[in-house]
Amino acid sequence: MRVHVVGGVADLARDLKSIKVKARKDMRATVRDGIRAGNTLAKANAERSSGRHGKHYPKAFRAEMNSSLFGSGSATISGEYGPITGPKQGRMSFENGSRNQKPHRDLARSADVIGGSFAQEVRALPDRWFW
Amino acid sequence: MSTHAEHLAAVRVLLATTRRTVLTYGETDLIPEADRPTDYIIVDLARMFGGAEALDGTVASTMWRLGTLAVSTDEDNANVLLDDCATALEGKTMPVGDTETGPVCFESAVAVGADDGMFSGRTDWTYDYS
Repeated sequence: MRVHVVGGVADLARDLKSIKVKARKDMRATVRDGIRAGNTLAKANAERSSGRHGKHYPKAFRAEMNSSLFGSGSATISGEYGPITGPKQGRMSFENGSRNQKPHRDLARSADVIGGSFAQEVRALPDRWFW
Repeated sequence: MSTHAEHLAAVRVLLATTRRTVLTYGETDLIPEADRPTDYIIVDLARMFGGAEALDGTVASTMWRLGTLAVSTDEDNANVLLDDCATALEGKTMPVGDTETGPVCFESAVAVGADDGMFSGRTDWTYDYS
């Protein structure tokens, strides 16, 4: 078998320069896709579990990116999803339940599903930058 | 393959060390409000994922989520109940069927707060079972 390499150190240097710019955009996009997927699942869970008394609750679900934090040699890119308090029934305590109502865990169950694939997406990022 | 009843029984054995009343949501519903204890723990338990069989016949371990809701007429006491649950559960393994579960791990918690005329706080746990 023969391996033919096209490119050299100069190409690698050029890649590394462009990755620096591309990485931030790609990482934000991956987080954004992750929270959107999570929110879709959580909302679907809520539609099944909220029942007649909580018919407005699923409509309160949103996915939102937070501000990114860069500094001290590290970066944090984050987003969140779930019911927001503004819309009707957005404050309902369905997720964790109470002493008279069992927890619905719409969010936790969505995270169970999305967690593995999100981790895989994050791991795949560097490969896409180099190839 | 293990049943929900086997897992719940194993959880009850661990929580028995708290010497508190341990109820499920279904059991709580059957007790009139006036007759409920002043301190009790509500447990809820459900399989999360796993159990898929691979082509070579091996079966992926299943994850279980266990919720402990500490309920009390006294706020401080609800916190003590949560601590008791942690002492009884955290890092412990349980015999279920022919095998032992993985250690019970902390997942998340909700601080004690007012709850329908009493006080309650929640801790959720997970463990795996192969």
